[in-house]
Formats: sequence, C-alpha cells, structure tokens
Amino acid sequence: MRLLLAGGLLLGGTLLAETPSPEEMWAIIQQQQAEIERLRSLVEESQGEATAARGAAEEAQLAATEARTESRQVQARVEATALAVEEMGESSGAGQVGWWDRTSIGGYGELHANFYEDASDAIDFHRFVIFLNHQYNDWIGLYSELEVEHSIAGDGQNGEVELEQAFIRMDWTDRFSTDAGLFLMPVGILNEIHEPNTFFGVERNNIESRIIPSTWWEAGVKGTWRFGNGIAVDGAVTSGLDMSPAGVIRGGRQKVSEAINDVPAYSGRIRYTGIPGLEVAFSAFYQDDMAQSDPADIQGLLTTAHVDYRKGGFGIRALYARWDLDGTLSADAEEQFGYYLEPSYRWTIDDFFGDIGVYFRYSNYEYFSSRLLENEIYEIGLNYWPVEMVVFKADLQDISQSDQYGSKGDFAFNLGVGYQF
Amino acid sequence: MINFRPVRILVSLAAVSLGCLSELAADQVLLAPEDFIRQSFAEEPESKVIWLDRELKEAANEILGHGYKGLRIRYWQSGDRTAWVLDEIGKVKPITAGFVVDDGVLQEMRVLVYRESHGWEVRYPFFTRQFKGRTLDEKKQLDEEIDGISGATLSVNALVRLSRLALYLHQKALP
Repeated sequence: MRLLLAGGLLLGGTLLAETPSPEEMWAIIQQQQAEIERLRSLVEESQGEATAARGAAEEAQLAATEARTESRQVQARVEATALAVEEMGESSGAGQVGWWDRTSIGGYGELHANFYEDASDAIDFHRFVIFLNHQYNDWIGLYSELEVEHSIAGDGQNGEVELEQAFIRMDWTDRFSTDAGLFLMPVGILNEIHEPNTFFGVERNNIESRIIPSTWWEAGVKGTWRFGNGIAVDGAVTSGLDMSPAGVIRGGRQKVSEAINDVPAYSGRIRYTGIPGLEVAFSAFYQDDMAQSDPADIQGLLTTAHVDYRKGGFGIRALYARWDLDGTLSADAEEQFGYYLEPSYRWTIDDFFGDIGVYFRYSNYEYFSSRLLENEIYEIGLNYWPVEMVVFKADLQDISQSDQYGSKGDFAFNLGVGYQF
Repeated sequence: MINFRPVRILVSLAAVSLGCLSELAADQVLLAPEDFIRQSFAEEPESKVIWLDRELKEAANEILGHGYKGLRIRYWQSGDRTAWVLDEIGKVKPITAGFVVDDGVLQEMRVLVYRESHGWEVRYPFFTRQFKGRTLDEKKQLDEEIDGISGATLSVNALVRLSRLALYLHQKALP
C-alpha cells in the first residue's frame, strides 16, 4: 500500500512537471492556427484551379462537338458532290438516264492474206461485224449482229451485208431462257463463238465450214436449260436448209432471206462445262426434207461431237461432224463427214507484250460438191495477242492431199489480223 | 347462253402462271448486293469508301487495262475482313461481282449480276470456287491461274481482273 502511494505521487509529480504554461499553450495555438490558414488557402487555391480546368474541359468538349458537327456536314456535302459527279458521269453528261444506258455495242473483224504455191495470192477483209444489244429490262434483251463480208457488197461485188443474229432472249428463270428470232445454230465450236481472237488459224477450220456450214443461222425458237452442275441443254425449232439434189450442204443455207419454210428443222445440243477449262458437247440437227424447193426429198441428219479443253497454257480441241442424207441424191453425197484434232500451247510473254500461242491441226474431211472431195490437211501456226482483243496470225498448211484446194499446190501460207471490242 | 366458267378458269390459270413466271424470272440479279454483304459478315459491317486518288487510279488502270468509273469505291469492313462489289465489262456488257477478302486472302467471289449472252457458267460454284484462297503477288497478279470456260474467255478474264482489283483495294484499305 505504501509502495502504491509512493508510485502515484511520483507519476503525479512528473505530469505536473511536463504541462505547458499558458504562454506556451498560446504559442502552440497560434502555430496551429497559422497552419490551418495555410492549408485553407491551399485548398481554396486548388478548388479554383479545378474549377478553371472544368471550364476549359467544357469549352474543349463544346469545340469538339462543333468540329464533329462541321465534319459531318462537310462529309455530307462531299458525299452529295461525289454522288452528283458520278451520276453525271453515268448519264453520259446529259443529266438523265436514257435508252443508251441499256444499249451496248461491240464487234469484231478480220483481214486475211492467202498465199498459194501454184495459184494467185489473195488478200481480203473477210469480215467486219457490229454487235448491237439492248436490254429492255432485267430479263428481256435484244442481241443482234450485222456483218459486211469481203469489204464491199452490191451488184457484181464479192461481198454481202448479212444479218447473222437478231433475237429476243427472255431469261424466264436464272436456269431457263428462250431465244426467239434469228440466231446461230447450236452446233460445233465455232458456229456460235467465232471472234478471231478466240481460235487458232487464219481461216476457220474446214470441217466447221464444209460439214457444219458455219456461219449458219436460222430463224425460230430455242430453249436453253442450264443446270448448276455445268450441264446445259438446248432445243430448237427453226427454218431449215434448202439444198439442191446435188447434195452440197453449204449451198443449202437460205440465210433467212425470204426463205422457203415448208419443212421445219429440229436441233438439240447437250453441253457439259462443269470442270473449268473443259467443254464436251454433242449436237444433232434433223430436217425431213432438205431440198424443200425441189420435188426430190432428202432427209438429213447432222450429228456432231466435240471436246475443247484448256489447262494452263495447254489446250486441245477435237471435233467430229457427220451428215447422213437419204433420198434422191448422189450416193457419194449420202455420207459427208469430217474431224480435226488441234493441240496448242499459249503463254504470256509479259504484261506489256502480251501472249503468244502455237498450234498444230490435223484435219480429215469428205464433202460433196459436184463430186466427193476428200481432204487430209496438216497445218501449224501461231497466234500473237498483244492485248486480249487483238490477234495477229500466221499458219502454214500442207494441202497436197486436198481435193478442195486442187491445183493450188502442195502448200498454203496464210497471214491474218483480227480484233474484237 | 354462254358458259363463262371455263373462260374464267383459264384466265385465272393464266394470271397465276404469269404471276409465277414473273416471280421465277426475278430478273438477272443472281444475288442482290445488299444480300451478298449481309451473308459475308457474321456481324454488322461498317460501310466505308476508298477514294480513287492518283495512286489507286493508276493501279486500277494497270489491273483493268482502263480506269475504274467514279470517284470512290464503297466497301464494307469488319476487323480485317472487307467486302467489295465491283463492275467490269465482259464481252459487251458489265458483270457485277462481289468479293470478300480476309487479311489479304480472297475468301469468295460471287457473280451478282450477269448480262452477257454466253458464259453463264461463271456464276456457278464449279467455276467460282477456284477464286477462294487466292492472293495478290508483287506484280498484282493472282498467285494461281484460274481455269477458264470455253466460249466465255472474256467474262472469265473480266472476273480475274476484278479479283485482282479487290485484293489490291483491300491492301490499300487495310494498310
């Protein structure tokens, strides 16, 4: 107990000794007040700065909004100007859309020079062709082709002006269409596609000239069914040939010029193109009487088959065509046929100079013209395409075993230039 | 008295047939461009334009062999994927085709509108699938050759040119 009392007195004495005096207390209070004042001024200063920063931010935001609005307005004005300029360009500068926007023009032409060993050389602007197409709406269109052959037409002239196509195509569905009017017959390779830059050789091959009488067109109606697997089927009812009992097929073309139309012709084709680069096709043409204006009756059936394949630079074309005629005509004319085989290779020189291609063709054909003419021709040649649509051609033919060329010698050399646009 | 019922039936049948035909015809637009764009992206793409400045005009001229009409070309973008709808003359008429490019690789080529009289094959997958995976080399050519269609060389070449242009534009839009 005494010990506790002594401890309490000691502690009490120490505390009493450390208590500041009122003066010291006043000094401390003064110091603290000064510190509070300093802190307050600092806080007020910061608040002022924050307010100023907020104001600046708001001003910047406003400026940004205004800039965005202005940018949108400029963008809209640019858009409107661009649209107006583009529309002006599209409407040919006339300020409105017209029939010319749905009308297209194209064409092709070819000049040939033929040099024979034992016959006069010749030069001929063989074909000058204009396509004129018009689209009435999204599914009805007109396709036409007008041709001047051999440069000049008229009485006593070599040439002709010919309407080779003029038909209305109606795309009833994306897989079925009809052609009504005057159209190219769906046979062979060249009869429908014969622009000079699409085939080798200066002149068209003789099988698709003497057996298939290209260019061959008739008037009528054709339906085409196309399938997604690459098969297409054509069926047509048309005007037909009117040949003499002499049996010359090519001479039977009436060219739909006030043509006799007593006996219709039926034709059909099935074509497969389901593998890119490949075309395989079979076609048939039948006419119950191919000598319509003659008392003689001649039934005619043409059958053809061809393969056209290109993979990379390598290409091959092979075609067989055959007429079987029955009736009042020479026995030698009853069977007329021909075939050719044409391997080729094409490569690009460079972007500037274009492409070059070489080919070899073996042709064998028999056709009737006063008598049966038998032919076996070997030829080599090259095509040069400086651009896709222009071609220069040269070929050399061994015609020593050809009745068609008869006394013209053993060799023929041909040069040509052709174009398409 | 004339019985009009058969006439009415015939007229009705003709009307229905014509209606069906007009619906079947549905014009030569194989796929509307807006549908092509919708099908080409998983999410809504952003519609943009690329202006044909001097550099792009020169490149278009080099690829197509002629200038591309207009001042700019519209395209759609989502991430690294872009879609383009471009026109080019085949034989004598324009072909409209759609292209989807993802990170510099052609994912799809679709013929949207075809107007030529020949060469219908170019619209079908057995032909168009060749374009998938194609890229552009330094000479602005496709890295692999496209096999053509007999009788449709010009249409095929037009689509090859447009594919090159789409790949080039993609490069410029996504540098």
